[in-house]
Amino acid sequence: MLDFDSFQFFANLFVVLVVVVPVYRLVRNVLARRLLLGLTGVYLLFLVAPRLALFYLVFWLLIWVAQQVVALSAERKHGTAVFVVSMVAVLAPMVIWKVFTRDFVIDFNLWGNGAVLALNRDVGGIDLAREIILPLGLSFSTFRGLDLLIKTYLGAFDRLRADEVFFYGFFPPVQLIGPVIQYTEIREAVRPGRTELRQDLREGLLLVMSGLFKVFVISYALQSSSQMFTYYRSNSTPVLWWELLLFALYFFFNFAGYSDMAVGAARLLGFDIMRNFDWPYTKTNPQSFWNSWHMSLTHFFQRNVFVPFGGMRQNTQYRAIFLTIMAIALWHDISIPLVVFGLYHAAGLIGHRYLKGKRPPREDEPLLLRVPKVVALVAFFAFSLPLMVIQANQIVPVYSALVGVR
Amino acid sequence: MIRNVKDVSDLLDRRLGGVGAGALSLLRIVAWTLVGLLVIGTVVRAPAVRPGAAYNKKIKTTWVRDVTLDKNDPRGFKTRKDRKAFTIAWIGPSTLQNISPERYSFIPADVRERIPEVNGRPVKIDMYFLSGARVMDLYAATANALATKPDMVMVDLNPIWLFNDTAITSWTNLNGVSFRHLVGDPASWPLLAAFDQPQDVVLGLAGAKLPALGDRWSYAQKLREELTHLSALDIPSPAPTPTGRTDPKSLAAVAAMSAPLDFWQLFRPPADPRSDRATRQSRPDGSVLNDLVVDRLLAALAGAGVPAIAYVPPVSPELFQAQGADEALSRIEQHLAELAAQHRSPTLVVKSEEAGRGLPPLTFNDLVHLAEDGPFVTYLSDLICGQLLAQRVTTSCIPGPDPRATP
Repeated sequence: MLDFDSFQFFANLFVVLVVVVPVYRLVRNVLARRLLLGLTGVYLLFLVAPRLALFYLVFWLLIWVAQQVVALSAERKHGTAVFVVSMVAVLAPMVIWKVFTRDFVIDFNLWGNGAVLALNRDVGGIDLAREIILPLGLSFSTFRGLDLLIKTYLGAFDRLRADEVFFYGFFPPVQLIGPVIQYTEIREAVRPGRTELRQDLREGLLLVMSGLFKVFVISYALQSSSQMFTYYRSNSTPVLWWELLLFALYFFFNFAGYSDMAVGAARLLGFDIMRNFDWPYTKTNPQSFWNSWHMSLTHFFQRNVFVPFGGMRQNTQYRAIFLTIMAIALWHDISIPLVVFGLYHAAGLIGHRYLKGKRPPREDEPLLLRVPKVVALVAFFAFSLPLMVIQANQIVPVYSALVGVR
Repeated sequence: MIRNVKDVSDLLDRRLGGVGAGALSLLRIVAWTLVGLLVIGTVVRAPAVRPGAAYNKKIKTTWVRDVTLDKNDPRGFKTRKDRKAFTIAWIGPSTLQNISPERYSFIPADVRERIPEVNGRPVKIDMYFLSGARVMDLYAATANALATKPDMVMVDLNPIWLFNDTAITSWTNLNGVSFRHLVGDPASWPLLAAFDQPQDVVLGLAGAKLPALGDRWSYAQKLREELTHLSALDIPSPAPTPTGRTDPKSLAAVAAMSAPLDFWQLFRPPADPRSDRATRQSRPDGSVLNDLVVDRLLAALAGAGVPAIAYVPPVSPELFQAQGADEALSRIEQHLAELAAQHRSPTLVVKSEEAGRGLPPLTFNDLVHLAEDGPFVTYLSDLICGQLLAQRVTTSCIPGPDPRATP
């Protein structure tokens, strides 16, 4: 329980797209197109659990109301206060979930089912048969909602119509595991004739196939490496390092595979959304690495944490780096291992920025110099991966085993 | 250099012209994919599966076999054909078992000892034994069983789960394989829409024709075994088990639950707070989705065209000691009878009364699992013979004596 097989979501998505893509392509009315995609998203969430669909309907209704209020008050006297309150309201569910995980998860399922039952007995009955779940996709929805409010406050958007927010909130390919899209990425593309069908179909299919290959061929074969976190006591340090490197590959290919599927599915519908990974394991320094890893999330934090906290200024850049990487770390979970994860990568990024300032790297680095840097960077990242999996009380034994001190 | 999908697309344009960029090309890709899957399914045979391997070891006669595959296997069941035999499809949850320190048996096997043949034909029982089955699972299994055209059908309806809406389905692997049997009944469509995922439908339909998809569970098992051998990790056997008590309401305990039912039983307020623990989540008032499932199950049995019996197995006298349990069980029986009244058919007998009410005291392991099934087996054997005689399937049917009865 509480585990969810992401492929089930994508398998349903692809089956549904066989019907939705031709209908969507035939429909020329923008409102109808938005509603079709929004309702598809609701249906996919209903398949996970009706309580999840209801939760997001309420959540995006809240965001729509907040967007209206922020847009109306942005230029007025209390505009900033209204904006801050709206941001807090949108952030609240995710923060409560991360801080009070047990109570939130139990109440989310219990109250969610109660609400669905109160609305419709039969749908409530269906909901009872579905798995007990975490609030799947809540982080991604929160980031998308925040992004919308921030851009509205900054004047990029006027008041949006309910169908626009519904379409953005329930955009099917990115419902559960991202990428964190921006409204500007899909706003215009929903209009007919904006993209070329031929190119969309081909690139969409290629991306979907690439995703399936990464998930089912590569990461499936590497999946057993995650057992190192259970059996670290009975294995030698070289074996653990070997498995850790395999796990690093598994972690990347699994995540990147699902991202490709989401980006490919969007492309089939004619939306050219940003890819989420750009060969991060070929980079030679921490900054390039983070700029190419889960790019949609990194860019979200760059826009909304790094830049506002002075990342572009000489005297505040380290503080901005620290806050950005801590936000990225703690988004995963508010826990001791993730705090350590944040501190570790903050040290890496700040150290790199400092050295770069002292001795700028060469533009055309020879391959012989690049390879050891790539290897070192992959090892540096892999060494932090256990922190995303283990509990606080496992930090010392797992890392002792990894460094050969038992 | 190829760095992204646009580069691959350009390469395809240069080397292969319009591949993947038009309706005809897409059709060609689909056609070749189907051909590829057919070839893979033919050339790379899936490892053979043995249904109910663990349970069949415990059944002495090969005339009675559990035909259920692993709970994750989307193929659901594997039956055997024997036209000379009189085949009974017997569908039921764990209440089909009889477990005592001296003997582990299945009630259908014990019934078969009493009725070894019908009209000179040996009785063969295909047991659709679904441990932890809920009412939707029984319906799915019944649909699969009826598709094999048995000579008779028996369905065991455990009263604890019958109208309990927190436990409507558990064997979701049956969704795909049942779809093609259930879709012919438009009244079942709301259930299909409720419980079948689109991927279940597509893979279920495609899997019936393409072994490469239909046998995917076997392929995955084999691959997993081989990958485990390749791993450099030393995995101690047996794996260490967690020690210590866990708060049953902790998140770890919720994560460890095997079914949503466990969560609802623990956290959801009961339908009737005064009722006992076993029937507290039952809602035999016509308000739950279980009603539609039971309705369609009985409709399927009534329209099967072969003798069919749906019965309520006995429950432990211990249950009746709990306050309100007798009334709760009576309401369940009454509601089942009301639903059965809508599906009157000469071939269908629905015994809505809990079987234990008319039998001498029985021994149980817990609330519903028998430790000594002798009188119940006699009851079922008489019921089967009565139904076969009433349907004129046979002119003579006298169950043999209980082989374990003390003289």
